[in-house]
Amino acid sequence: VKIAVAVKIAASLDDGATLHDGAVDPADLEWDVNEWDLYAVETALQLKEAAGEGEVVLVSVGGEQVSEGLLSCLAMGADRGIHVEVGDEAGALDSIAVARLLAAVIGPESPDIVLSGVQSSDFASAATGTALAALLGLARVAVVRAVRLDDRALEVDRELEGGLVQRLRVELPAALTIQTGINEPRYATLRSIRRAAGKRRDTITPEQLGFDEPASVAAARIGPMAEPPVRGSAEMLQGSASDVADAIASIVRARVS
Amino acid sequence: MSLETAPPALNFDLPEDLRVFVNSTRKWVDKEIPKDYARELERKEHEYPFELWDKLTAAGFHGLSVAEEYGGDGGDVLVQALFARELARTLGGLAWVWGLTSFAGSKSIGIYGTEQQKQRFLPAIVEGRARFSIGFTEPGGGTDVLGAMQTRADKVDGGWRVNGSKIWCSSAHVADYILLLARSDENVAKRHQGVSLFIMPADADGVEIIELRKLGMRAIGSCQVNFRDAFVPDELLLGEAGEAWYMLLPTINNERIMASSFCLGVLDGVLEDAIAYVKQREAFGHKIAEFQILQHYIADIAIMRSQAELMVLKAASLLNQGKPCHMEASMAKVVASDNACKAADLGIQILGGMGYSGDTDMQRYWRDARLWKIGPITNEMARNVIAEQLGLPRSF
Repeated sequence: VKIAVAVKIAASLDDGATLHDGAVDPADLEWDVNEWDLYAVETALQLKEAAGEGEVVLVSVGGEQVSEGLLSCLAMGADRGIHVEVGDEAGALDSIAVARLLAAVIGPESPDIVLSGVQSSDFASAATGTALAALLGLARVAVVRAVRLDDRALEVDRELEGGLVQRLRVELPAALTIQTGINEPRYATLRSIRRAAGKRRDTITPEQLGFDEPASVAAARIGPMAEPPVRGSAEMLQGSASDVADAIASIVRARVS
Repeated sequence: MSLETAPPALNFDLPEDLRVFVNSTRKWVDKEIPKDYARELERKEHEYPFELWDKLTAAGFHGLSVAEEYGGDGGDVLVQALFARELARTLGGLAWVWGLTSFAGSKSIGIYGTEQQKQRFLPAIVEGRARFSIGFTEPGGGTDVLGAMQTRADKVDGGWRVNGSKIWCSSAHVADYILLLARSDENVAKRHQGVSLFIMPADADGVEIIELRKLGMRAIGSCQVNFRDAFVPDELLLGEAGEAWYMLLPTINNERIMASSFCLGVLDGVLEDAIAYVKQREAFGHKIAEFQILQHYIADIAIMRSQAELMVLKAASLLNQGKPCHMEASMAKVVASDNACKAADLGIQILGGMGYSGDTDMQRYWRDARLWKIGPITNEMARNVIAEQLGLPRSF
């Protein structure tokens, strides 16, 4: 079984981060593999192990941070990685742009299964995996919390609102977006990291994939960011526990009656 | 030099594989052994944290510095230092649960063991089946190990008969083996000669283990061990008989770097907790993070951490390259332990009453870090060594 996993190296703000002119200073960003994608990588490894053979190929669109992120996923056990190098443009790419770049790499690989996390921890659009499936013309199941390979099909449980689970059977090739908690992503050990350093990591540019410039594939332009306005509408309740409880009860009564 | 040439710069970045290792380890620590878990373990005096040992086993960490041919990861001193730091960030002194066997067991046997001893012990350490304690110090003297040494190993048929007492043998009560230093020959020109290292089975007849009470690292258990005609077979002599002191010297720098790495981890933990606390605590209608004096305390902790970090990583890097580092390792140990104690003390001050509370970690860092100003060498003795390295006459 050949499995492609789309991996994002997501940004988080460090303790001292502040906004200047609608943007965060890149020096205030910390980078790590998107949490959802760790579960997707682990899912891929487990599917390959269950199949007894196969290849797990990682594809990541981003800047220089991708190299380290790919190494950590290769250390988990993936077989090779492809970095779509977009340099400083990474922050300007929307989900559709990323999906287009991913599709250009993953399409020719002809994987049986395409996995991604449900969403990224930084942009939280929850769109890339689904857009990727559409661009590749694959059946797609979103928010997957269990998956089992059954010959040329996958049995998949997906999460619905209210704690319900929907079970589906989908023929390969197919694309899934993976929910956190589906498994326990393994930790990279020193030995696995050092072995992974020898695994193949290719770098490719959008130009080599036939795109003029990365931003040209975007469907939307990302505008400035802003802190939410602070509204002084919070009411601090004072007094004993029973006074506070009474006050809360009267507020609730006033709002719901 | 052409204009295009980049100006010369010192490279303070870890290589990519070690950055990934630190990141992966930090995630493991936060998930498996967070601070509140460590706090619960530590407060149970005389209850060894077997569960922590098992978690380290399951993650393969006992094999971190064991050569790959014996099933380990083949990590060097820098890897050990980075790992020790990450562990101590949450575990504080309980990081010794890992460190003791890694140092007294795999490090010593890895360097000085016969092939047969390596085959016997190293895979067992990797698999968590062999726990080591250390028996160097004696009740009659701490730093002056050789001057105070009364423990004797007398040659008998097939092995050695040991008599004497050792103190501060960490986790000896749950150890399978004690790395034991004993005088095996009285007829020597210098007292550095005639001492031997043994891998003493902790369950041998004639070995009596008594747990001691102490300020910090409570769960880890420190013991006095009395030997009365305890027999250790020839195959458990480590290295050459009578040569132990010369064998230990090369491992001393490693030990100091390890201890200073634990202190560095404590500095990380203290800084994290101090910042988190001042951001949420309010007084006089303000977050206490707005108070300048507390900002200065926190800045001081950050400075102390940065200072220790540079010195510890430099010493580890030198040792890794096989370069002399006795002075640097001693300096790192002094600075890291002094700073960890000062920082934890400031941390308690920042948290006020909550810093003194058993439900926060500051008091635990404070109690645990205090040991490292004493062991594995007192900071006074380390300063003596530094002064001697600077060409001053030996003061002890």
